[in-house]
Amino acid sequence: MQHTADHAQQGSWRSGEREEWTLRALEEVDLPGLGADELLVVPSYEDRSVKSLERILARWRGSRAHVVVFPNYLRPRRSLFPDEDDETCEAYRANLEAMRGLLADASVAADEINGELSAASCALGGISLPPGSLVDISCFPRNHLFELLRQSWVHRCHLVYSRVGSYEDEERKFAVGVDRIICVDGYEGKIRSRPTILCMSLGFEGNRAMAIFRKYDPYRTLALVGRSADARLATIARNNNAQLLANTTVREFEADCLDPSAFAEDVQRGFEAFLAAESKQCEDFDLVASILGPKPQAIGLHYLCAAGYPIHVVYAIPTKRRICSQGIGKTHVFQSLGPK
Amino acid sequence: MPTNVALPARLLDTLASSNLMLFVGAGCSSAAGMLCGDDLAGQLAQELSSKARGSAEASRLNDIEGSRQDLAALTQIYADILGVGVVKERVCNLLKDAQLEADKSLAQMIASLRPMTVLTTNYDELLEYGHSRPDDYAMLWRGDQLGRAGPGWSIVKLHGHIDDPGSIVVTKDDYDRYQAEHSELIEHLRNQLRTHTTVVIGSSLEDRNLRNHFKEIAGASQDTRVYVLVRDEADPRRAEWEPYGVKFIHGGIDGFLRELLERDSAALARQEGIPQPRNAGEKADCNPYRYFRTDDVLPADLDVVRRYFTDPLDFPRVLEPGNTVIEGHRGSGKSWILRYLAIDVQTLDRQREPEWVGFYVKCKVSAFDCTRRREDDTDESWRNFFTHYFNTFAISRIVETLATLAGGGRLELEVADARSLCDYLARYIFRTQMATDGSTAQEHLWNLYDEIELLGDACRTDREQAMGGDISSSQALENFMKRLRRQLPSLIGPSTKVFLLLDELDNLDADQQAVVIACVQDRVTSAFSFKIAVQAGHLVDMNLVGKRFEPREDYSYVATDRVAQEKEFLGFLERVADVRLDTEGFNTTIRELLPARPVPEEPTQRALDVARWLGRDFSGFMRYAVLSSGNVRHFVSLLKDTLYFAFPDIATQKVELPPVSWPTQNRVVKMKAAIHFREVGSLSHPEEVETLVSALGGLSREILTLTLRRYEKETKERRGSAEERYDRIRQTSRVYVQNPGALSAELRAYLGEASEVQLLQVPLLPRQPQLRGESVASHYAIHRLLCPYFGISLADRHPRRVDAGQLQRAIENPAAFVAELTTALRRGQEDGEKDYYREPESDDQRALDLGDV
Repeated sequence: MQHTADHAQQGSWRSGEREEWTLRALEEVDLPGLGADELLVVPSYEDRSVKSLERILARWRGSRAHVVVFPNYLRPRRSLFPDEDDETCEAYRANLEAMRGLLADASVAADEINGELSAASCALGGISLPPGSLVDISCFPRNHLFELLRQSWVHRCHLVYSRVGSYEDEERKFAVGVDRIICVDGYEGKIRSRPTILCMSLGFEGNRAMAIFRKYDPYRTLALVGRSADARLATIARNNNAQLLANTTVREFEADCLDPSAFAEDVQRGFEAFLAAESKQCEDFDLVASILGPKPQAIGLHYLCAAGYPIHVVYAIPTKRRICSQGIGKTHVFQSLGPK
Repeated sequence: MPTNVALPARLLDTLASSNLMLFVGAGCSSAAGMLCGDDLAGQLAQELSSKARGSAEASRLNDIEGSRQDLAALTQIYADILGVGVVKERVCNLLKDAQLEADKSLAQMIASLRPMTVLTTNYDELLEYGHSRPDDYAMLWRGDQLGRAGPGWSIVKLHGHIDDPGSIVVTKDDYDRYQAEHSELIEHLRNQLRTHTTVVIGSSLEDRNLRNHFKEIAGASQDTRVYVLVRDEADPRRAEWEPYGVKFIHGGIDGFLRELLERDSAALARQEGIPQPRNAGEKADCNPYRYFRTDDVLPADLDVVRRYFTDPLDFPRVLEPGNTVIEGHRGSGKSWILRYLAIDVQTLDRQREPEWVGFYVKCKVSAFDCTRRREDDTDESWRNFFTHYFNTFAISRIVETLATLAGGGRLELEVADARSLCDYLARYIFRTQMATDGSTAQEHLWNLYDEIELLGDACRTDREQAMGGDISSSQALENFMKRLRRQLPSLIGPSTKVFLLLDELDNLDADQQAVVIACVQDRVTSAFSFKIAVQAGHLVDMNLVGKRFEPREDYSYVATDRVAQEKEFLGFLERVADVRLDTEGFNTTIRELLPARPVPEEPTQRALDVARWLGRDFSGFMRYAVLSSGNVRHFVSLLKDTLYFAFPDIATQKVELPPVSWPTQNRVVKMKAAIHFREVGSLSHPEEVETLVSALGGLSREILTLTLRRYEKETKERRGSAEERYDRIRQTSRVYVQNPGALSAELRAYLGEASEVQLLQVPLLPRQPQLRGESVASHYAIHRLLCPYFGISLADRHPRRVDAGQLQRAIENPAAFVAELTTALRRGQEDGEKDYYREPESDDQRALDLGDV
């Protein structure tokens, strides 16, 4: 052990000690009983943004909704013949209208707040919801989700997450390019002159993972493949990230897809196994992490950061956004346990 | 984007067992833009009508009009009036003209599959055009040629060949006599149908001479023998054919071939597999090339850098006093040089007194990605903040190095000296309280390091807080270095040069670099100097107040990028490879380890000439060196993979290294080529860059194919001298944009991105260094590692001149781009490239230019 300051702040994740939310199926939760009066939602070009709101409104009786709108998608069509970007924008506008309609039908007053896709603090910095409110994180861009998790008020709110019905499974559908890679505000971690370990949960977007891998040029990469009941998802993730996984410096681990606490445990276990195999300690490396898998994994990564792991969290902003999913799957609620 | 085609599982099995055959009909040629039967009939009808009108054959005008959509009937009338030879000659000429403009992509996809037999009723040469060289396939159109069909590619033209007009089956009479006159071809068809699974593409199976054979053989088989690709799911022919066991696949030709190609590649990769070591799990990797990135060397293994170090070209200039900018593309060896100069590597050799003391400071992305300039920063506030952060960052690395050396016994330092150094930094540099007490010098230094890092953390996470306290001045680094000289005379003598080794400066954005540049400019005459490594085209040349960062005035310049065709550089690569073999105790050299494919005994000059251009053999050290395109990392990485592949046990134990066979070398090269091309996915514009690079690769391949055909033809006709004929074989490995200023912003971005992942290479500009914002180059070379991917050779001559507007079409319509730039060649004319053919200065140079190594 060469130096001690990092070590003193070094934490560890123990399930049951630090969770802030507990995972429940929507059907198991008595939403009116939670006393939630306000709701935060993010419309998206994905079907599930509307369908998730439908499900919430079928069970929830609140009076106010905060809607984060991204004007990035409100640009007019560029030609008579819509390209894929136009289709994304049109789907977004249609979904936004549908959500406005749903809220109006349910007599919920809607406050629209303009956001900016690449600057998460733009919209979320000015919002504060009362304890017990609902936040539908299904369609939050991941950098916004991390920004959300930095807000103190959100730790007293309940999070709703709806999975998608089905995804496109081919890597080339997702190969839209990466505009730039940023560090997520508030998740700078501790960077020294040590070799970098990149911890990356893999999604279907192989090109995004590869861009981060190239940019941060890590000594070793821990590639986390989602563990879920549907084995096909892991297969697709592996296929779409084949180029990354074929690299000799990349080690593959499995991690939970849905339960943030289990994800945090899996990451910690994988990291410790890696350290044991290399005969190294956590302090020997700089930790850089990125989440490209399901959004609850971002909550899991947040747990690890909050537990004292000095993780530098990065996010790859895509050049374009394309519709790569259809429908809605199961909806879950992360019920707040109150601040720790 | 083409729609995917669902391939039946049985078809995929057949593909994997190399038992697939294609039957290609006229629809395939139509899809490539060729004239279809109706077009031909229409054109011939018009010609014939004008000839018949007013002549003795005017009575047949009604017949002609009535046969406008029946090519067999129309050509029969044409033959009756003008002679059968005339009509066949005319049909062939029309097709020859049309195929000049046709899209070759479908044919190229077919040719990219593993070798198989293709039966076709088309007369044209599109299928042959898919192949890069004439002897890649056997082309058969007469019964007496069938004996030439081998295990490789066979293209069997059941209805004759365009170059032999007499052979084509086109008139009614031809069709009527087909069974009797082409019994050998029919028997061949039947044999192939019996022994292979056939996919029919682009054919309606209406040919009366052939359809019965399909029905008979497909119907007699227990399994599905014949698949027919149709565009619409509800194709009316299903009812007729399905009773015979024929299955229909729904989809377009392009989508089907793409899917087949991908599945075929995946199946091949599975079959070949990657050899695994027998006792995996043990850790004694003995591959001398396992370190091919400096970042893979952990601090504990730094001795590797010293032991493997090979003096690069221009190294003496790096050691000169004063600032130096070392510039090159990613993987060109910059970091290895700086690592070698670092004191923590130099002191590993205790026998040698270091002539210099270098402190290695790597500008990691993660250390700088959250200290960017904000919109509300003024020049002054930004300069103050970032100077402070940079000082903090650099000094923390220096202190860390000293602490490591003290801990390892490589630096003798008294506690009092360490305490004094800590006090100095706290009081005069950072002007803040620092708790650095410790019982040993090492402990003092580590505590100091932690304190400085906390200042750095504050800058990264809470800039307001960092700016609120005392911050270091622009003189901080210089003052600290002077203090070090006084405090550590045993380490830094009066004449010892001190270097601050700044690696990966390109990870800093323009605003950040501008502040650092100001610091470097101040250091010209001071007690230490900067040695900066930066990627080509990423150095900012101006500080915040607009003062230029001038070569010679402010720094000397060293380029690590070399052209693989430079003989001196090939010598350097050979030393790099041999030093590692020698250091690890392997009793061989790289030339012995990688022998080239032996030249057949007594080859004819023609065979040698053609073989040189085939682009299929990449074995031998020299070819490996050329394949790396002058990039040290690519070269070492290729060697690493070759050894793991040829000797898998080397991953766990030391093994003998006998020469690697040339086929094994070629397999590794081809895998690396395919992986290299996939790098495109992580860019901002992957689709566009892929299209652009594929178009340039396609252009090169097309030019090579056409000129090789010309060479074959001229050799056959004994036209010109052998040398003249040979000199007319061409390949474009580079394009020269004659008006780079006219490139659109998008195209510049795509070219830049392609260069970033080294699919294209930008030769260094005359200006040194290659400054940020000046990356619009006029020359773009295809990375040599892509040669196996595109089926071209390693040769480097005849850069192809293009206009910015033409290059734009490479993105918008790649097929038209290739066609446009090869029109003259296809018409058998010179295309004006001779103007800038670079005559080699010597035979050696000529051999390198041609990849003839």
